[in-house]
Amino acid sequence: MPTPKHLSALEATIAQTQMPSDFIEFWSNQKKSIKQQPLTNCRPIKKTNTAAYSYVNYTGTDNAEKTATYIKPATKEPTAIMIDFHDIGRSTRGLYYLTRYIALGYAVFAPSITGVYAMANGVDKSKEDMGFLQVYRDALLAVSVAHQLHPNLPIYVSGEGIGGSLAILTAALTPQIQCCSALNPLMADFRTICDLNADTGFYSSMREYFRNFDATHANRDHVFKNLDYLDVVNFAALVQCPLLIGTGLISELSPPATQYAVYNNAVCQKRHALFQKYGHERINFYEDEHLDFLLRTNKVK
Amino acid sequence: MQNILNNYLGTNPCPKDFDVFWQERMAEAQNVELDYEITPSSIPENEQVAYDILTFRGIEGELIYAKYIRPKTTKDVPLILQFHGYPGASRNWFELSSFAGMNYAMIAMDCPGQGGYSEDKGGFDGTTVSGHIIAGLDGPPEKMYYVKLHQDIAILCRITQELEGIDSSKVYANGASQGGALALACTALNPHIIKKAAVLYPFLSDFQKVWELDADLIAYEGLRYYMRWYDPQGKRIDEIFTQLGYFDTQNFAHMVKSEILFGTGLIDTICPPITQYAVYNKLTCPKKHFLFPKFTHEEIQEFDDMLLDYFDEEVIYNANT
Repeated sequence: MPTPKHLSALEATIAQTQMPSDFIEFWSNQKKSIKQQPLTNCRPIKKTNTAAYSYVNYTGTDNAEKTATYIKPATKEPTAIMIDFHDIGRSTRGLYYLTRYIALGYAVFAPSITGVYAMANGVDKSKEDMGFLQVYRDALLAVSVAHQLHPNLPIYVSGEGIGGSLAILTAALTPQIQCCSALNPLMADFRTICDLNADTGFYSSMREYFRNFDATHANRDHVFKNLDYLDVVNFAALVQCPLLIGTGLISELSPPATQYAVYNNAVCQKRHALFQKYGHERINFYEDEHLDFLLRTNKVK
Repeated sequence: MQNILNNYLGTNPCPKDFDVFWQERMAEAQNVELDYEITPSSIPENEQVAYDILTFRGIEGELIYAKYIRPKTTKDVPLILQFHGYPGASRNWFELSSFAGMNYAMIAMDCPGQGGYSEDKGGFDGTTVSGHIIAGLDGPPEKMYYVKLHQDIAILCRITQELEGIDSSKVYANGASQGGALALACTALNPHIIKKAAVLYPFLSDFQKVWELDADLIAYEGLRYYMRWYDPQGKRIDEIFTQLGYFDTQNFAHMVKSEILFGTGLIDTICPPITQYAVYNKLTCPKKHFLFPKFTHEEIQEFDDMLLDYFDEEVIYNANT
């Protein structure tokens, strides 16, 4: 766990990544190229006095069928739609978990995100050929589908781990998003991940790439310049809505220095909730911070 | 193996005076003058959900803390009593809000002296260094930690009958692990109040079997410490396990009259499945057991999702039925 001295150093963290000069243009083009897909079907799961539960199917940016859980209040118009992005190593949160948003009067859309297990696929090619782009594009598509379901509602985004990363990048690129929260976001400040030898776990494909194809790191600059286009640090700088970031200070999967890099790069209204003895895990007290953040930011009516 | 599990009825003895013992304890809890207060929590005021703190005086005057969440509606709503795992505390306000999303109120109390805010005034006979299972084991059974906790919960049950905006005919219990044990015992001991319960991998069950399996570790570690320190040669086994039998979850099973939804992760290493079967097999009430083969003692999302239909009697449409 960081000592107070280390915490001061973390607070002053400046990311190693820098936003490429064509970053905004690159992502604007990426976004334009995502075709709005018609919903293939909306399968009801059940309806109660308070909520209608269903699965929504749509075609992903990789042409594969995607599924999202979609819940909306049964009797009153929702005041917002919450998009809940799940972390790696699990599927979408369950109906019971997601029903918490119904309590606040929101609809909720929880897309299943696939293909996140090799973040370094294609990093030595051109930036357009990086495999992980598809995950980001699918996240943007999911926001677009949710917006299609409720075109007049404000959109909120939330997630843990990679879900937190997707929340931040979609908030950066979608003006309709009015509230963003992320716990232990990944995909941040890749050079620092490499320098800290934290390229394990989620980031292990980056280590494998260098070990197998660039043992002396001769191609390091090219790889990291490509990864700058996926770096959540750079997306954070574009977020305009209120932002909550939660950090477990003993997270090994998502080193605190990289999370501070994200937080420090955000120029929006922001809140950083620190949890001293927590790692990359579900953090009970973060969920209270999240509730408080939503209620204070959006003054639920 | 499944045949053994399906027919297993427990190893730990049940004290001969179990039912009478609990009649007396419940009578004591019935005689306590109710003393409770509801105050706002730090969660921001909003128009959807009331987030309050309920405090009340327990069986020995200790201050018990509970989160009290209810949807803001003019109609009376059902109430869930939620119990937490050992040795934690009531879960966070947001997680507990799912029931408000179902138009249910929720009271989630902290067990005294564990990871939350409820007081434990102590005074237990014998060792207190190693957990609550053995707290009071060297004294009379009525002074053991879990006996007093069941009395505190009975007091809470009485309070539910006075709360404004609550449909007092629809009070239910829910919990996992220690929370499952408390939900089941609460249902057994307060049959006129608790009309239904959900129990996931209950703790505090079949102590002697846990000991025999060498599973007296982690949450059950107090048992191992106690036996190593105070009965190293196993000369007092009957006496010790009979006394623990006063709050053994399986011994409450025959008293449960209302419906129970029961879940077990089949690779649970904390609460061995056979000790859970001891509880389930002894239930004579309407019951349903869901098995999760590749789950241990952890969050089981599938079971959580079952709560929606189980507690919500007014599901209008369900594609699964």
